[in-house]
Amino acid sequence: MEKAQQPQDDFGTFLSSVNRAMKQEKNGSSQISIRIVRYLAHTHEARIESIMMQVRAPFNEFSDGLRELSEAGLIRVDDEDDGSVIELTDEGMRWAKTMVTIDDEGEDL
Amino acid sequence: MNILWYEWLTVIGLGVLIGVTDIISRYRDEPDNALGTLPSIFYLFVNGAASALTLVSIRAFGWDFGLQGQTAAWTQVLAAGLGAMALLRTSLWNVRVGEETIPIGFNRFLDSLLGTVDRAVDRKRAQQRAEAVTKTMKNVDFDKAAQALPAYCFGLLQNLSAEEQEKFGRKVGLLVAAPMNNRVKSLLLGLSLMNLVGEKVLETAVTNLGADILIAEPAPLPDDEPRGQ
Repeated sequence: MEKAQQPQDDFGTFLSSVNRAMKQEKNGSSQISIRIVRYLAHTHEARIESIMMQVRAPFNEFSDGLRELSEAGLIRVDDEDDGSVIELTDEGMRWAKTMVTIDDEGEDL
Repeated sequence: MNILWYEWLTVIGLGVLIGVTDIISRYRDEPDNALGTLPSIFYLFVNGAASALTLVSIRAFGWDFGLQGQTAAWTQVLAAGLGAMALLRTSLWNVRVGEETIPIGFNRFLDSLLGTVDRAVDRKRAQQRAEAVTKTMKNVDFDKAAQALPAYCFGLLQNLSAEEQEKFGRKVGLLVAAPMNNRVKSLLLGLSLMNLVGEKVLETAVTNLGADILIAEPAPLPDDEPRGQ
């Protein structure tokens, strides 16, 4: 596939990655991703079932949202015997804090 | 047992230096900030004190490593400085609790101390970072900057791995499609960039790109007073 032919310049990989990510963003999963991060802002980590209950999204969109966040390095998924725990990474935590301290109009809360 | 002032200085200096190396390697982007926190200073103190205590022990037990005179004295100082480092970072034995293996030794203490340093540094840097990002990204238009700003920063850095670029691309893709205010998006873009390239590079990039990524018409000031410039 095209991955074998990664661009070797200073920011080519970044631009290809953005374009790819934007093409995949047709199913509204980023809205779910943001809701997941907002929920985790208060708890830092939570079991996958709890997040699903709160986010209330179709399973495939929820799963796409998780994958998207994980690929962006904003969450970690810890698979345990009795289920999965989703945890914000340090960067995810910073995003979450920023999101919850600024309202939808862009003003500081 | 007689320890001269310069021997104290050297052995403590060695311990502190090793501690400094630990912290610098942990916080490569802003080591000076990390070193300035209280837990970091305590961490350096523990390293220095451990080295000094090791030297006292070596002299008290009369371990001269088969050498004599000044050579023995300096060997003891070096052994104390480096030996304390090894001692502090070693687990002496492991205890199994259920499925988990817990190492027992001074390294547990040092790890928990480093954890405290992590939290303190993170708190301090979070505040600084938030202020710096708010200042730097104040008038940046997310729609204009989303691709140009990271690409320019990565171009300045020249050595960012393909993996990091890929991950960053995912973040930007997420932000572009996210139902959020543009100001939040700009701040999040700035935060993530700052993590990768540091405050100075981000500032330089925003300055250099200038009007190409700034909001075209900034909101007018609420008061009617004439502006200074």
